[in-house]
Amino acid sequence: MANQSFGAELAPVLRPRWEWAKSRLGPRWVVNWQVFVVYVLLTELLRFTIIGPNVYNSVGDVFEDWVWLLLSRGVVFLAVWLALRLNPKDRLVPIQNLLAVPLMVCINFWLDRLYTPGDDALFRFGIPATFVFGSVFAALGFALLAPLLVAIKNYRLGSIEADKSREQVRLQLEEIRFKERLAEELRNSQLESIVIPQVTKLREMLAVSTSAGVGVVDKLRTIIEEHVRPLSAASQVERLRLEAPIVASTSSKYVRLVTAKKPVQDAIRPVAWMLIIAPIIFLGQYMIFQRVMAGYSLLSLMLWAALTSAIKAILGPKLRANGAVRALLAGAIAYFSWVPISFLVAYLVGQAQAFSILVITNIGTSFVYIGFFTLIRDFEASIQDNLDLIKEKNAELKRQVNQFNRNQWVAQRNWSYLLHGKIQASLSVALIKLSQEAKPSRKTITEVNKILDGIVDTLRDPKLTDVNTFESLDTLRQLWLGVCGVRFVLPTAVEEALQNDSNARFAIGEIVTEAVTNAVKHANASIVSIEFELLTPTMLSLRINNDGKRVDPDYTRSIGSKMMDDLTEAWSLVSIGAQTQLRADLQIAAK
Amino acid sequence: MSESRVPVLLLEDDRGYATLVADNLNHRGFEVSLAHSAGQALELAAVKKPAVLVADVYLGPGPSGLDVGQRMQESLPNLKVVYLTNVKEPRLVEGAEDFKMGSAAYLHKDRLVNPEFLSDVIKSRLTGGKRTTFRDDRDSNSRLADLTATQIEVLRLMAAGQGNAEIAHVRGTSQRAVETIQQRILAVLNIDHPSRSVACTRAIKIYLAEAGLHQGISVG
Repeated sequence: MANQSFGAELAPVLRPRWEWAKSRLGPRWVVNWQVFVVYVLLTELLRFTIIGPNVYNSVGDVFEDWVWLLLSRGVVFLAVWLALRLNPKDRLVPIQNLLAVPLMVCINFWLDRLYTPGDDALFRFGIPATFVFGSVFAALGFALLAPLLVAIKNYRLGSIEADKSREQVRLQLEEIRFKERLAEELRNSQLESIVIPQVTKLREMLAVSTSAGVGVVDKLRTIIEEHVRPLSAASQVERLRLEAPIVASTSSKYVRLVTAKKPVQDAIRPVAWMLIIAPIIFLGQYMIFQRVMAGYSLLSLMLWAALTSAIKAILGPKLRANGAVRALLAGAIAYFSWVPISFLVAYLVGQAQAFSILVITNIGTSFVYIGFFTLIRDFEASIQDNLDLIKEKNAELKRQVNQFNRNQWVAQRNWSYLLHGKIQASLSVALIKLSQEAKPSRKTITEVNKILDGIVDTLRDPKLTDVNTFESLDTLRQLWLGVCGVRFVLPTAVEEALQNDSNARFAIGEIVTEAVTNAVKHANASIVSIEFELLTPTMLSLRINNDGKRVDPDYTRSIGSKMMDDLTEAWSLVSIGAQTQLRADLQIAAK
Repeated sequence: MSESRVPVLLLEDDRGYATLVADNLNHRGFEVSLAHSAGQALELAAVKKPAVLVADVYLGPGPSGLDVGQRMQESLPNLKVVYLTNVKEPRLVEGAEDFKMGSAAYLHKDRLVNPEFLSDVIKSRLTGGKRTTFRDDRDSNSRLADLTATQIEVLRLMAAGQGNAEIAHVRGTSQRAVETIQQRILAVLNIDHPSRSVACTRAIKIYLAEAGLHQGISVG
C-alpha cells in the first residue's frame, strides 16, 4: 500500500474514461479542415451572440469583415495546427486538442480587438468574461464535433473492414467451388478407371452367355449411363452444397441511423444535459444580468431536471423515432422545457426584458448541443450495431464454411472407402458368381441383379460409413498392443454429444487413426494418450499426446496440415519437454 | 478331420464377398474365422492363432488391412499373409507409402473367378512356394507401377497441392532435386508437353484417378 501512488485506487475508474477521451478527442488528425470550417462559423456565431445582429452597416462592411475573418482565423488555425502536428507527445494530444480551439478563439478575439481598436462591442461584458465564455463555448463545440468526426472515420474504417471480410469470405467460397469441381473430376476419373472396366467385363461375360442375362446387361447399361457417368453433377455434390451462403455485403453499406427506430425516451437524459449546458447557463446569465446568480441558476437547473424527467416518464418507451428525428425531438424538448424556466428566472430577477436574449443565446445553444449530442450517440451506437452484425454474420458464415469443408472432406474419403470397398467388392462377387457357371442359372442371374441393385443404390445415394468412436479407439489400442500403449478417455458427455454428428465421428476417427499411426511409425512413441474435452456443447477439443521424437517446429506444412485445416476449427502440433501434443478443436452439430 | 484343417483368418468388410471367400475356403479344407473389421480380426487372432491371414486392404475408416497384416506378423511370426484387394498398387494405400510387402501375397479380388486359385496360393505360401507368382501388383496395368517409392511420394505431395518448395521442405531436399524427380515421373508416365505445369497436372490426374486424395497427417 505504501508504494501505491496517490489516487491509485481511482485509476481503474478513470483509465477507461481517459481512454474514451483519447479515442474521441485524441486523434491528431481530428483538428482538420472540417474543424476549421466549423471554427470560422462558430467564432462568427459567438460574435453575433455577444455583439448582436446589428453589426453590419453596408455590404462593404460584410465583405471587409469576412476577409478579415477568414484571414485571421486561417493564420491562427494554421499556426496552431502546425504546433499540434509537430508535438511528438501522443499522451497529451487529447488535452492539446481540447485546449487548442479555446486558445484559437482567444487569440482571434484579441486580434479582432487590435484590428478594430475603437469597437469595444465584443468585450462589452469585460475582457475576462468574453474570453471565458468564448473558450467554454469553443471547448464544448469541439468536444461535440470531434467525436462526430471520429465516428464518421470509424464508420469508413468499419466499411473497409467489412469489405476485407467479404473478400475473405468470397475467396473461401471460391475455394469450396474449386474443391467441388476437383471432387467431381476425381470421382469421374475413379469411376472411369475402376468401376467401368469391371462393369465392362461383366457385360462381356453376359453377352456371350444366355438370353437370361439380357436384363442384367440392361442393368449394367443403366449403371454406366444413369449413375456412373452423370454422378458428378448429381447427388454427392448437390447434397453437400451450402444451403444459404450468407454474404455480409448488404449490411455494411449503410448505417441504420435513418431506418432504425429507437425510443425517444432514451434520448432525454436530464443529468447529461445539465452537465453539458450548466457552464453556458452560468456564464450566459453572468453576461446578460451582469451578476452571478448561482442560486437562481441552481433553481432553474433543478426545475429543468424535474421537468425533463417528467417528460421522459410521460413519453414512455412506445414513442419511437429514427436517429435524426430523435435528435431533433431531444433538442426541442430541451429547448421548450427551458423557455418557461428561463422566463421565470428573468422575471424573478426583475429583468423580464432580457428574456429574448436569453432565449437566443443560452437556450438556443442548448438545443444545438443536445441535438448534436443525441445524434452522435445514436450514430456511434448504430455503427457499432452494424459492425457487430457484420462480425456475427461473418462468424456464422465461417462456421458454415468450416463445417462444409469438413463434411466435404469426409464425403470424399467415404467415397474412396465405398468405391474400393462396397462397390468393387460387389462387382467382384457378381463376376465370380457368373464365372462359376458355364450357363448362368436364373437363380444366379437374380443374385447378380440384386447385387447390381445394391451398387445402383450406393452410387445414387452414397451413405456415410458409421464410425463408433469408442470402437475405433479400442481398435487402435489393440492394433498397437505390445508396441505402443494407446490410452484414451472418452467421457460419456462427449459420446452423447457426438451421437448427433456422424461426420464429426468420422473425422475424429480419421484424425486419431492417422495421429496414432504416425506417432508410432515415425516418432517411435511408446505411449500415446488421447483426451477429449467438450469446450462448449458444439465444440470438442481433442488432445493426442505422445512421448516420441520431438516435432520439428518448421515442419508445419505437410499434407496432414491440409487435412487438419479441413477437418478442424483450429489445430496445433507442439513439443513441450518430452511430450508432443496434437491439439484439434472440432465443431459438433447441435442437438 | 477337424485337426488337420488349417486355421485361416479372413478379414473382409464386405459381407457378400467375405461369405463367398469363406465358403470357398471352407469347402477346400480350411477352417475359416471371419472378421469384418480390424478390431474383430485382432481379437480373433489372439484367440485362434491363425496360420494364414487373408485380408482386404481397404476396410473403411480406421486401420487398413496392410496395417493389420503387418502387426499380426509381428506377434505371430509364422503367419502367412494374403492380401485380397482391388487396389492395384499397395503403395497407393493411405499411410502405406513405406509399406514392405515382405513374404505376403497380393491378389486381385477378381482372381476368385478361378475357385481353386486362392486355396492354391495359401497352400503354396504354407509350403514356402515361389512368392513372385502371387504378386498381382507387379503385373498390374497401373500406369504408376513403374514409379519408385520416392517418385510416388513426390506425386502424392503434388496431388495434395504442395509446391516444389514445400515438397523440398517436407522431404528435406532441394527444389532442384524435386524438379529432377518430377522430370523422371513425367518420363515414366510418358507425358510430353511443352508446358511443365500442364504436364504435371496430367501426372496428378493419373495419380488421383488411381489413388484418390491422400490427406494423411504427420506427427513427429
